[in-house]
Amino acid sequence: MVFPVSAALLDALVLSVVAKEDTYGYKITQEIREAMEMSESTLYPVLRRLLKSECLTTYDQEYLGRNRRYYQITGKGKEQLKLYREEWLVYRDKINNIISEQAQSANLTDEEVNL
Amino acid sequence: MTREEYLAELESDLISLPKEERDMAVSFYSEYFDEAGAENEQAVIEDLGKPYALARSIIGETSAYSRSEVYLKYKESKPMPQNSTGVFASLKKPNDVFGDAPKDEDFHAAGTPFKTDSDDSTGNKGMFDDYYQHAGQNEQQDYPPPPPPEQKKSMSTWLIVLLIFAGIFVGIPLLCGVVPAILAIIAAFLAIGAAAICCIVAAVIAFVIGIIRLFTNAPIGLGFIFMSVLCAGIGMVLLSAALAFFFKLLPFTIKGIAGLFKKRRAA
Repeated sequence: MVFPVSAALLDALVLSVVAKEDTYGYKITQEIREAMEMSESTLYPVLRRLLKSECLTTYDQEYLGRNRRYYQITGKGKEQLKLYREEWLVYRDKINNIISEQAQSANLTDEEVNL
Repeated sequence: MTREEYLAELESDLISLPKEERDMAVSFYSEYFDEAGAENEQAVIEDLGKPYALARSIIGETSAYSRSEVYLKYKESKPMPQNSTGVFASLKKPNDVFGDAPKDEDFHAAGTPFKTDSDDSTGNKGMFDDYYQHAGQNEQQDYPPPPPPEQKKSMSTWLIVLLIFAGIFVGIPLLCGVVPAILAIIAAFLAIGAAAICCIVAAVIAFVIGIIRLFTNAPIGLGFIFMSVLCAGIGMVLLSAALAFFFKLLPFTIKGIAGLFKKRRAA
């Protein structure tokens, strides 16, 4: 991916994935990888950050005789995700207004109307 | 390197962290290896990079202040900011994902979370590095004036399109109105010139008749001479008006219009 991804965007992605259902580290990585190229080393710092700020909690469950750590979104995490979603819409629209082809042709018709 | 060796090395590289944090990180990656499956062990090791670099990224993140926390506090203390794109736009380069993570070469090569420069096999190698270095250099200086030639080019094509539209919607009605008006004015002055010539001719004839009649019938002869002088006067006024129009006003106007076009072209 050519566009760098900010820490806040990663937080928003992870919170979104975990908000759907409680899930574990490997699965979160795989899900985010469907949208962008992400190294396997990226997720842990993000999860740590979200645990520290109490947006996520963990619980352990046994799976095939070993431990699997599940991540669960907290009330604070839901609150934070709501903020991120609002911000994302604003950010997306602003960027889209400038960058997309559709927006550009819309601006041109505006110019013609001004004539 | 096997998974056990990798995790052991990671643990020893995390020695600066409290035991609790260290165990958490190691167990996270141990679980990750389990989930990926034994057949993907080498692929995971390759993707994670050197244990040392991975450790640096973990230490960097745990010691750095959390952006989320800071952002939450900001949100709590203030209402929704107007310019609210800041959170997503705050990142300057991929390494910032780790906050104040150490930025030595080794870490950068293996710890960069996104496939930008070092992981890129599509030929864009170093593209972003160059960009960021460049941006860094410019921080202290004034930004150079941005003259993007492509934008100028497209601007001028739009200007041409605009001019064509202007020509169609403004120029044609203007031509339809102005050209006949100018022609009518010219015709009017031609008529004035013709009338002047007629007046002068009539004045000459009346003068001749007046002189002849002066000897047979003096009052009528004087009347003709009076009319002749009157006609001559009117004819002279009209003639000078027509001459002034054709030899002064018209060339001046044409010059003025030509000058206008010249100026526009020069600009």
